[in-house]
Amino acid sequence: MRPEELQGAGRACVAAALAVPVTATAGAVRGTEVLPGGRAGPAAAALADRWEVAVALWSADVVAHGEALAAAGEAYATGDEDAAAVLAGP
Amino acid sequence: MTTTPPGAAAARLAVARAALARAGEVLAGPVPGWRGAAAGVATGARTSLRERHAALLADVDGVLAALGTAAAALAGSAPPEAVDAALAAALDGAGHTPAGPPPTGVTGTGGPDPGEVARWWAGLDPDARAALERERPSLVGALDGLPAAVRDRANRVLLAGAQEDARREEQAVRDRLVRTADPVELASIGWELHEVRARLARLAAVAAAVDAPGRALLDLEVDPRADDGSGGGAGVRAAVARGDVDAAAHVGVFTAGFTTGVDELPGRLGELDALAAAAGPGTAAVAWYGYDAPQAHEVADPDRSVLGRGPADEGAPRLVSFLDGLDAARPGHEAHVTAIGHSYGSVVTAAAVAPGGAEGVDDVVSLGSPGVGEAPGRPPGHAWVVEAAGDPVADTAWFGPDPNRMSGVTGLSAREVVLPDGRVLAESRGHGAYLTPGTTSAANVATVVGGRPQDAVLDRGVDAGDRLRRLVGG
Repeated sequence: MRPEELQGAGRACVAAALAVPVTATAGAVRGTEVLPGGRAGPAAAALADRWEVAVALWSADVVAHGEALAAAGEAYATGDEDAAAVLAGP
Repeated sequence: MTTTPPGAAAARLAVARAALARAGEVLAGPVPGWRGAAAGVATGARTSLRERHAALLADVDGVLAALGTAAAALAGSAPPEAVDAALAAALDGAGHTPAGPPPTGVTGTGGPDPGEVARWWAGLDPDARAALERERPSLVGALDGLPAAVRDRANRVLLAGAQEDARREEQAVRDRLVRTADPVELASIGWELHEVRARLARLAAVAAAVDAPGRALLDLEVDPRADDGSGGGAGVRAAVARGDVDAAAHVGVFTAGFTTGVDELPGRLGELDALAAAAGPGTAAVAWYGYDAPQAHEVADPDRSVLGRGPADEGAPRLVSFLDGLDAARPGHEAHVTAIGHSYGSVVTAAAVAPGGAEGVDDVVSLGSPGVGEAPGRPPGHAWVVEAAGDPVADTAWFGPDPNRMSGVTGLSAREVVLPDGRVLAESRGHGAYLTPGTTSAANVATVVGGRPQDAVLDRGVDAGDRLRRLVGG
């Protein structure tokens, strides 16, 4: 395992998650209506609210996952340097 | 609000679905070539995120199908009332996928780009922001680039939780202590008790620092595994603001040095209150204890010694991210930002404002500095140094030339000064009194932070230590 690959994978996760069009899914259904005053309109608005939260939570968790990967990569790199110093001896 | 027929909604949703699907591609497959326990944890988190992503897409697909059916039924002259009822039922049944637990281990060293974070946050619906704040306080509190008020609320929740956890842990350790007779185990449990009580004391210091009007807990990281109980701040990092960093015209960010930790936050905030008041209206100040400052017992450790760059190299990316986050959270109306480093904190600050580092810092002030490298980090007129009489650290030039002898760096006085109105500003002596209220030094730092350096009393602070260094060729 190469630490820089791990750090790169982490950064890719963060970048992808921050680029998610968080409100697009919800925005697509909000305002949907079959009949004025019908039931579909309020149902669409409520679904949009639920989706906004769900997509935001998912993208936030991908950010956190990416940060954790990057931190792990850095920890491996530090450990590798320490190990190299040990092997090099005094 | 304009209304959309089912067919048009389906077309828009198909586009949104494609974007959401692309975002999930980053999670495809394991991280290459990684095995072991940590890889197992990461793979588990990755699998969970992939499953949630797949569930979201399946949810969207169900709604897409329902919208398509509704559009086709309306085109086929089906009764609109029946179509409305069927579509409403389908929409009511969607969007109930559980979010799952938050991932663990978010302790980034630099974190995501604060500008990207700020744009991401700005694009969220208020309900989504509220849900994130409620469900993911550890992430929201740690993200540089988010509004200060949001981070403050999230971090206060974290603080209360960390205190509760530590209190429970202390009780559990005490219970074990009274049931143990073995001397070896007693010693071990005694050390555990010392550690958890040290963490409790640090958390109490953070709580005391934010327990005043106008204070904000901008960052809080608690890592019990790093808590060695030996003083300083190991295990707890924090940044506390006085004033509104999102609205203030001027923001000063203070970074502390050798042997410091969050324990000293309440006292430091008192100094920063006085400094901000002296700087003038519209000034906020931050006590940034967001890195593990080197401690006395670490002097012999090559990675952690105050004589080496290890702690600064580790801390600088964190400070860069924090400083960049200040501006990112308020796009279009950035503050005048002054980075103030004391002692080893000036080494961290210098590393943070070096080329490629924090871009939004306008002025840099080094207090009692053992050196800031070969360049002061900001152009003449924006790089400042204060050296008090009797401060041996400021004459060491351990990390580059003595700052008070560098060209392009303006010296601010730490001597006693009688102002034209008769008021007397006191002298600062030694290494630890640069921001003591009522001193010339603190008043001078305030003029820089407040954006009126023309009011400062200049003095390069050359004293016996500097003359001695010159004699011996330092």
